[in-house]
Amino acid sequence: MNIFEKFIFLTEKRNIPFTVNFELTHRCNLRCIHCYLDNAKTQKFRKNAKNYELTTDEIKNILDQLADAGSLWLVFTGGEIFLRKDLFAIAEYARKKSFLLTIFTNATLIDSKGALRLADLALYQVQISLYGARPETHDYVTRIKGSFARTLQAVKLLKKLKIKVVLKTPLMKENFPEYKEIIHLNEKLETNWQMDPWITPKNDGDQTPLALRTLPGQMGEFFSNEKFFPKEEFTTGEKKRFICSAGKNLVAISPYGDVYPCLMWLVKVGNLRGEEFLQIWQNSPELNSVRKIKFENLKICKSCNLVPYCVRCPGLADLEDGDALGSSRIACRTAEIIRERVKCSPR
Amino acid sequence: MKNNIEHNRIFKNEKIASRIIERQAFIVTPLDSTLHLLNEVGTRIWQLIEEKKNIEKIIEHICAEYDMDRLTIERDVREFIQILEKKGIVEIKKSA
Repeated sequence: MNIFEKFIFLTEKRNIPFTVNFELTHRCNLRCIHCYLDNAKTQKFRKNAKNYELTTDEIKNILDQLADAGSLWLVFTGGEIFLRKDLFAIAEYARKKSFLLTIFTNATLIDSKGALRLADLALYQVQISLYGARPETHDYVTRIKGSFARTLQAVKLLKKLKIKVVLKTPLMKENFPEYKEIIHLNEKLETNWQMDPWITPKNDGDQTPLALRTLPGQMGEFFSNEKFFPKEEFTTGEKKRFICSAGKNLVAISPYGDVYPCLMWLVKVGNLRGEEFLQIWQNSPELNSVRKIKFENLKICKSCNLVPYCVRCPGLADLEDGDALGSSRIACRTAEIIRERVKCSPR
Repeated sequence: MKNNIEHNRIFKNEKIASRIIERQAFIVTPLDSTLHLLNEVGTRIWQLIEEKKNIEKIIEHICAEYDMDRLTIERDVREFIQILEKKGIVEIKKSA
């Protein structure tokens, strides 16, 4: 067991919240077509959302509690976190508390001054959303003209300062045709990259974004590409992958202080405005139930022959069909494709 | 020339990330994104570095807390701090 594996094992076994996904705001300057937050019902609320968001002092207090609880890897996400005027005050405090800090952003609001301040933070990573290799594709997804140019400009600024940048692309019908160009762009920019075809329902259960998911033929092409296809991982697939870290060594916090096992698994287990973090983390009946879930409890999956090829997410299963113990449609579809590829690939 | 670090001040590199979990210090160095794990005594020395103790004070604490001869402790603590410096976990600065 290497040090990292030992760390994961220890934190999962002892329920130490090693990873924290902290949403600092749900406000955003883009209007992405696939966004799991944005919808007509919440837009009105989101305009005034900053009045309800955790304040700078509340967030600092939560960070103190998280550090005491053993959290190390902290991810600031949104919405668009640079819409918060206190972002640097919060991030600087987090680094002072020795968190390993990653930020998720669309980068459109990062200028040269902001990039310099980010460089001073010694971030673990800056993960940036990129939706296409061409301006028209990216801007079609974000529904904001000029967003591609602004994002790319920021990426170049960050790279120049040797900040570790990861460009993340959710693949959907609209941008799939240029995924190879996106890889090429990443190679040109010398950025790390991630792509996945998992478009999720909105947080309120609205299934509209699912219509944007890649077509079956596109999924097949995606998983036949050596750059994506985790062949070794799936040919030795075990059912342990079914039980994820959510609620064990992973926790999520909303801009309003709500606590969840994961940003994908929106079972509210408490609110940090009324309770201390450890009080929620150690005593929540919902979290304790999540921690007790075993493979045998998964109604459909426990007897499914796709298990060795499947990466199931309980949160996604819950969002798709309202049952975290049920199967996930996108996971089943992906597993079927992977099984076919494994069968067809030479050993 | 012998590197005389006794009179120098030891600082945690502000760019690292770290946490003590179950009496073990986990430290991530920024340049190589490597996770380092310190053993019990290493973790205790790390705590003393975080408390801004100089090397003399660190040796005093370790001698008081562990049943080992002073010479061995002195040698091990110095070596350990030099390893931490080499890995970019601490910085050693001359006292003013």
